[in-house]
Amino acid sequence: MPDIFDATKDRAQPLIEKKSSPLETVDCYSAVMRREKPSKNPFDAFAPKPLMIYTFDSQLDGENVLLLLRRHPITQISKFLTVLGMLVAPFFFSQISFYYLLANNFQTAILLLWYLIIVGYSLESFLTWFYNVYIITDERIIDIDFLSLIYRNVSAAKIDKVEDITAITSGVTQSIFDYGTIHIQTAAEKTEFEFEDVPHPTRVTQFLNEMLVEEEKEKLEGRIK
Amino acid sequence: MPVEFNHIFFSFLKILFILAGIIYTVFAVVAIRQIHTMQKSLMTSLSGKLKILGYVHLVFAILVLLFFIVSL
Repeated sequence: MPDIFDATKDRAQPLIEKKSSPLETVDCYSAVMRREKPSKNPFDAFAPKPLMIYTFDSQLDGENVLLLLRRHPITQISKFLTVLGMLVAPFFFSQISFYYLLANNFQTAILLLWYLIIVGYSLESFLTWFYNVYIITDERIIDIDFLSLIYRNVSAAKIDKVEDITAITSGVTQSIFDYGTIHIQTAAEKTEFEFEDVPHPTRVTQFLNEMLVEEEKEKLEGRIK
Repeated sequence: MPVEFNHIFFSFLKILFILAGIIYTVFAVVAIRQIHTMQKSLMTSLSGKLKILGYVHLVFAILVLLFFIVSL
């Protein structure tokens, strides 16, 4: 007796193979990314496969952020110590004889202005650190610079335009805390990108090299966007 | 004479404090504008909280400026 067609058997198998997400795809060709867990902390200076929704204004359709970098937090220690020093300073105001000659309301005003300046300095320092980022997507490298509150510079280059990558780690603190500067030479309009004081420069360089190899493969296979 | 000198000195000091307060308030407004620009450049999960932080900072700056004007 021949088998009768049973539709339920076919239904059990997916008709179309599930497409893997770009963050899963990167694990296929990058050994560095395979080792890294997706970053959930928005303050991470080294954020591989960030799960927080990171979008940026020049983002292309279907472009995904694979690695987000900031300056290593240890580079902000001088600013942190400055703030600490400024917080403690009012305790020494009493040493200045002129301070006690002023009326009480003027003494309060000095303290208020002093603490306001500390808040302003801290806010400006934090914003500059937080938004000064280097992004590696599956298509491009992007350098977003906010050197101060009124200076903004955004540069981007396609991965296949990258020609040379150099990571420099120099000095005791950079060796201990594993951070350094990565110089990327490109054939794009901006010929040099500098990822300053980023954590794990060796891993970043290795990842960029893996991206370059993948781009070459895509070119050869005609998959390039 | 010293009473008159004191009056002139403290009036001058008050003007200096008010000027500092105004400059700081302008800085707080620029900071808010900049937070908006930065958020356009990079959208993160903290965007909303940073915007609130910017506005709270501005409110404090205005309150301090008012304190300088009223109580000095």
